Amino acid sequence: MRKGRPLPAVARGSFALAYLGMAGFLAWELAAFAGAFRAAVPSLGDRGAAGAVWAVAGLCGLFGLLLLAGKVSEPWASRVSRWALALVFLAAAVPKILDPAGFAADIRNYDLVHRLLLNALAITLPWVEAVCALALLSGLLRPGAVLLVNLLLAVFLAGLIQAWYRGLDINCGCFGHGGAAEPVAKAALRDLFFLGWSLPLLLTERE
Amino acid sequence: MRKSLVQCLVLTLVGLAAGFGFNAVSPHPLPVVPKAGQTVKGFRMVTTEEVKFYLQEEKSTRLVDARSREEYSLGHIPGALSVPEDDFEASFAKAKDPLAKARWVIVYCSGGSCATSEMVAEKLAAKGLPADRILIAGEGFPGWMRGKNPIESGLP
Repeated sequence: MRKGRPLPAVARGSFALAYLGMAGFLAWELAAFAGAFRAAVPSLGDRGAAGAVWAVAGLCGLFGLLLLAGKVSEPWASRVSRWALALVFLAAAVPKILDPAGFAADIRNYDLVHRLLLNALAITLPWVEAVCALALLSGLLRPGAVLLVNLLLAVFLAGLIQAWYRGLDINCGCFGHGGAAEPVAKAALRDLFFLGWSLPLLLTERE
Repeated sequence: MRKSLVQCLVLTLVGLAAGFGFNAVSPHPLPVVPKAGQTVKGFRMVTTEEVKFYLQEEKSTRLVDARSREEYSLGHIPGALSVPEDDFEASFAKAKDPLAKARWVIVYCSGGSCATSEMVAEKLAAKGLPADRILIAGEGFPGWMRGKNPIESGLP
């Protein structure tokens, strides 16, 4: 990963902090993420799911350290971040595509969107996430996909922060309606790490 | 920058088209404009105003508070029965008679149609309460308080 252009310091720092932060977050929320892995792949079992979470946390931590040490340059730093964001967005989109009524209920909880727009948003937003993810993975319309992923994450973060500020005890709904409840404060922290991956892409994409 | 904006718009429009298209061919499409009485997990959702209507007009309506016992004791909708999800069996044993006689059972929790009220609604249905008479308060206890409605506190 050493060959290629050097990474601007700001981008390198942001990527590194985001990966290291995500590694810590995964370890802190091990049970919740293991539950999500088990729900996605039931054959994993408890130990397999926990092992998978540790493996992902380890990879994030290792990549963060390599970035800090300057061992990762372009295009790999951006490429890995785009793929990671794409996987996250696909994981978020699929359950919501399969359960739009549940997602509409989650959007309603935020008390932000007019009742008449709830369903239209629940029907379309997951598909916008999925299309963005596929564009990030394939490289098709890449500058637009990078801008879109940043806009979506900024909007999601704003929604979560306002919900937390207003004391709304609601489920994030970020990865689907069912499953374990996820407090908005933790979801907001997680979104900050995702923005740590996505914001530098605006810089590296320009170069 | 302009190129990024145009591409961003194209991707968004593709996503919108895919969403509406998939919904149109889905065996269970969601109405683009919500109808009154939209359901979640098969239970009809009601607004805070509808909860008040049921309490005033349908005397055999019972409210179920699905939040924890602590949250219930700090404040709840007057007359609500405490049936927390994490202590369902013991709580249901005490609440089963009044619930069985109720024409409508409205379940609420701390955040609108959060997972807790749905889980309790499903468990009530599993215990034999007719599912079409179990409603979920879409705005929950926060919605009741936002309407400056009276509350009670303490445990029964």
